[in-house]
Amino acid sequence: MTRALRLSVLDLSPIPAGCSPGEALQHTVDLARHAEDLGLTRHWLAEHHNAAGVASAAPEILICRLAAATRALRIGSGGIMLPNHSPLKVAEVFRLLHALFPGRIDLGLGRATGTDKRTAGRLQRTAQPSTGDDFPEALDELTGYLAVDAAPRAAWAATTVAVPAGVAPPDLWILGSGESGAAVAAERGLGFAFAHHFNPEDAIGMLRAYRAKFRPSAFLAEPRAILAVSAVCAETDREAQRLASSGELGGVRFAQGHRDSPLPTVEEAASHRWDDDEKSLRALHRLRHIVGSVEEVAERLRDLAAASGAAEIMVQTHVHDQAARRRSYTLLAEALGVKGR
Amino acid sequence: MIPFSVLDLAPIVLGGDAAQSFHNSLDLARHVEKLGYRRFWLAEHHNMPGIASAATSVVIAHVAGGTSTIRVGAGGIMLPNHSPLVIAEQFGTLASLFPGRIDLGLGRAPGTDQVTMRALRRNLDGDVDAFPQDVQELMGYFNPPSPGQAIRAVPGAGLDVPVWILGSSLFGAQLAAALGLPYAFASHFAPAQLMQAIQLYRARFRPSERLEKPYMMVAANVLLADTDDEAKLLATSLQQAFVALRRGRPGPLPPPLPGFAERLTPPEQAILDDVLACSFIGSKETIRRALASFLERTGADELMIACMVFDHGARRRSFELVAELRDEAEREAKVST
Repeated sequence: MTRALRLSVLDLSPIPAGCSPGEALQHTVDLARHAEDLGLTRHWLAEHHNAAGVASAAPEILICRLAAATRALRIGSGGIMLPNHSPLKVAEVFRLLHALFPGRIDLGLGRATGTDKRTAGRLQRTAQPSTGDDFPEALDELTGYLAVDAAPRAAWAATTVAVPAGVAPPDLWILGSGESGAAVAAERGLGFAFAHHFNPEDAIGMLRAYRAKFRPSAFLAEPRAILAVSAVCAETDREAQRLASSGELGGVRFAQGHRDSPLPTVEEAASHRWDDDEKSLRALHRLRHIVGSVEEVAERLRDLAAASGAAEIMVQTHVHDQAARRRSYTLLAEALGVKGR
Repeated sequence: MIPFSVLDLAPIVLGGDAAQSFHNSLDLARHVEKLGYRRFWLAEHHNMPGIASAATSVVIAHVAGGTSTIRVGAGGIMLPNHSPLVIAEQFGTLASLFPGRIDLGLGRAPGTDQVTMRALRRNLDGDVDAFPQDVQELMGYFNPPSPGQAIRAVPGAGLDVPVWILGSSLFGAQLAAALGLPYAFASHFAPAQLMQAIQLYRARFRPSERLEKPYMMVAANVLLADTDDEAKLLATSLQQAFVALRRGRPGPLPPPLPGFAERLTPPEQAILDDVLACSFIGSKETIRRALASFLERTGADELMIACMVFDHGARRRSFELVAELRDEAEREAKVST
């Protein structure tokens, strides 16, 4: 008897063509409530900047909103892009969130900037933005703030305390799609979430390597891994392919450097005349996205989980229609035997 | 009567914890929403054991999510600690989730000590000298997106997020006037230049797309109780906190201490006379005239009330009494016209 897989949501708050960023955020709140009802484990918000198709630029605000709108679902960042932030501020934000919602907050951290170089420069207030080379040092500074549980002090201390003090650290996760992320997570004894949608080839190997090299820490005693995938499912393969086509066109445009277009409708994708460049980018896109009937997708995810040893699959679903997006998660939860709340 | 608003420092009281502090902040926001206060602002301070709102934008999300009509905002975000783009995205997100309810007040102080200030800033070119440019960069992100714009705040572009300048010196008055923005003066703890700042702001104000004529908010400590003695006793918490802060020993907000005011040394008394000059502490009857004359003297368009009280119930009661005072003044004004 195999243990039931846990299922979670990764959410970039995609902005469908014809919707405002605000409407996209309302979709995110709606999806979290749906995820809670379905019995999913967690809902993570990504950090992206200067992209007209993605409304999740301030995950810390959305985490607060989503946690208030749900009761048992874990809510977190997937992830905070650490090069863009001061570790102290990240510690302040997540202590606050964990004080408000004890036992429900995840802090997932990435080493990318989630944007283009010019925008990263404005986010970091420098002409030479970090691209993550200093990630291990910044991570140590952050975990240092989170570990220090200085009770309210009587005087200025020589060191800085992340206020509010007296709050247990949230669960910490490293996001990665390569060797360095797996190594950092294993060495420091943190959870690890692997982005299959950036590097499907290495997913199984990296998750195994993480588990093999894991060293227990004050934060985590046993390895804990999530396999994050991009998937679209529907009752039939044909319908799933149709729904996924808008994400394909949006993804191809983004890969070509167009940051200013929202997620296209399926009609726009159907009538699009794909040139050769776009066709090859689309082929690449398809390698990284799991699309099909619910049976096909569920089987694929079970196989990936079994091979990688991950007990949890986190799914992002980029489709234009919110009802279809909800439906994709419903079908998947049923097929994977997730019990509703 | 002009609108009254609330400045909440999310106090952590001695023996209390952060969760209690945030619970109380939300409870107070709901309470003052019912009492007809216009806005509920939170402030950015770091490395201060008695002020829980370090991650100010997220506390705003918490309070706005638990209330329905009151405006919620920052009073303020200390902009040199941040990237203007990050603040535009955070407040764009807040304004998208809570349309028409979010205010963004901006200050240029660090809100903390030097060591912590350096730790907050990923890079150190967020100089105070850059404050005017930072404010303009930030407001630029709220403009409707233009074709070919290299960097956009998503969400943020095209959203209505009122921007305020906060200040306690003549610098802020001049900047708010030059940019045509509403101006809030921190007279609840730095009252020395209040009248000069008001005069300067009004005299130099240039109308903008955001604001046609000057809008001046003044802040004061207003602590009301059913009797003068009780109010004076409650105020000893704030007095102790200020004395400790000025000695470089900030801590959680202590309980009232009978006799504290009488035992102050002359230098301590001088500190308090200085920082708490704009304070109205007493029963309704005692305060009524003094507050009215303060508002008349300043010609304020809005009053922002700070009220640091140890006991949450007494704090709620104080805002009830202030609302009564406001409503009684309003009725009186109607009768006399």
